[in-house]
Amino acid sequence: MSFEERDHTADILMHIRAADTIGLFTDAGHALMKTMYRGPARPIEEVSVTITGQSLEHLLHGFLSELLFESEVQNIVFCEFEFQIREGEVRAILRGEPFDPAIHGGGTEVKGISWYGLSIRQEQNEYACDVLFDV
Amino acid sequence: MIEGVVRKGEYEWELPVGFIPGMHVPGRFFLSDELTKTLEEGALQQLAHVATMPGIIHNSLAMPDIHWGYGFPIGGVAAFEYETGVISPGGVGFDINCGVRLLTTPLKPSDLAQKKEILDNLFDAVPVGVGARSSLRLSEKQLEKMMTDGARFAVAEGYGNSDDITHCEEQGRMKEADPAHVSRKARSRGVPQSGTLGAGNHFLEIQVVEEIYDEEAARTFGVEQGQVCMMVHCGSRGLGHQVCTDHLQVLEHAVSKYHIQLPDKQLACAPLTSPEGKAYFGGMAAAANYAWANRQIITHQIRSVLTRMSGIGYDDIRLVYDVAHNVAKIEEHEIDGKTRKVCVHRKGATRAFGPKCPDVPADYTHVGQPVIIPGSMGSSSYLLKGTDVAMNRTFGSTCHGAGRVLSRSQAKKKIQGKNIRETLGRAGIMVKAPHDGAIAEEAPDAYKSSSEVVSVVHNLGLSRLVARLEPLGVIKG
Repeated sequence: MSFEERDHTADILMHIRAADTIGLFTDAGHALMKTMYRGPARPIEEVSVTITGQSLEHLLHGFLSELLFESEVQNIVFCEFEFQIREGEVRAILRGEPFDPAIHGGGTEVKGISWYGLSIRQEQNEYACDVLFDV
Repeated sequence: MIEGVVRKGEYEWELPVGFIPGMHVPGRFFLSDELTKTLEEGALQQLAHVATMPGIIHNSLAMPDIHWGYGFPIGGVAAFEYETGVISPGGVGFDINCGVRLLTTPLKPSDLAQKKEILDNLFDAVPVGVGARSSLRLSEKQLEKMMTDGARFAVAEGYGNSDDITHCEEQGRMKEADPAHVSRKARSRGVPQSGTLGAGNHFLEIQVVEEIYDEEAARTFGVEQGQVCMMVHCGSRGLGHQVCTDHLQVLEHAVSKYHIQLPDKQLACAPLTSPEGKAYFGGMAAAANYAWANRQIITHQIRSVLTRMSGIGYDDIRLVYDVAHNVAKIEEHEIDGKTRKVCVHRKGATRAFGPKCPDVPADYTHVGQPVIIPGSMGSSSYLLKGTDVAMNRTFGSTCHGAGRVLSRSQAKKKIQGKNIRETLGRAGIMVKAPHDGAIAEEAPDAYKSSSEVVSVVHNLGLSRLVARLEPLGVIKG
């Protein structure tokens, strides 16, 4: 996993780097889950989602918003992601286990995914972006 | 001070038109010299961005708890002409109708010999933290009523009394609510979370009235020195967050459809009279009503615990008032000598209507609206009253709280949750949270001084101090 938290006074700013777009989406998913929950999770339940969007940034924003929604409504801590990314569409399989307060409790509630500074950059041999979680 | 900012008074500063291109009006903010040390340039940029939005009236305003937010700065206030102006989720925030309510009790601190047990019981009665679920099983029909009727729904279901309704801003219900604009996704987040506190800076506190500054107002509000009170700070939970997320997508397209020029995508908006603007307003108002009902249900849970454990009556626990500090409202204000219909966005700002305003409860009208300013964990909270100065200068608005100075990661690095628990414990303040990390993130040192913020609005007359409350026990989400 390649993401790090950077300083932001009000919210949680994550810097994510990966070799390709699938790695970028995967690490962004892990960054969101690590913000919301503590402790390890096992890939024992599965949810599929499809997101459409006009740009890669819209797809990433849409994926993270969907991940937040599914996690909260299904009450699942996701730990594995599988993607098919093509122009204008992302299909993702999310795997995880039911939230257990004794194992996963104590994280930060994320209210939404901000558009602040959300631009995906290709830097030499990798992709990078900053994502702000509104908390 | 940041270059280009003009000092206009002891506590007043201006961003002149031209500070950034496209500003229709100046930006104006209120800070003491002490608070200027924590001012972020990004927050001032956001204040200037708001000044470029169509239909803005007089000034883009920020209160002394200004800090960097989503779209608008936190602490931001802006009024837009109803016919020509816009509405923006960036001026409300993800947590629609995040707000605060204050309850009084007939108890004194000496009656709290069982304080730990009371705190434990409150912690069990009010679900807190990430992943917490309500024990209530709301039907689809009940959720619809919750969004339409707000606090009235909760009282009709047996979670309170009629006095509670009259002591809420908007009487706990925005009449413009239209659940048709609340998506299935938002509803599915709302069902399991009714009556839950949430996490982050949301809290439930046992407090004591430590000092009275205005005897007449305190007497009117039913508050006296040495009295034990309860304060609740939370909002519309996942339902409100999803309403914001859903409508931001629609409004992003509306910006190009209506040829609106914006310096920041986070300010996505639509004309107030457009279908997109009306849809967001209807959905936002429904989420606001959910939040009022949510705080009302939590109030019932508090009353149930205190009645059971301290022997006082259910109706002895009285609601002083409930304020929203993340909301947009259609209001009438006197502007340039005329009464005009405007949409006031308050993003981390509190309504502070003065005496004789028709929206102030009848029993408070000679004093003005109660304004409740929560402190950060372990610090003072304040009760103030609204003023005519606020009506004339800030569309009847004042500050909402302390405002962060340390990021959550900085706070966790610098501060150990266990140490804070022990330090506060030595000061007689018990803390209960699902995890020590939650305590560190919300440590008192991570926030500006609420006392300094409140003293600025008091000195400017944007609201006036009535009482100071100190925490005795804290439940953090």
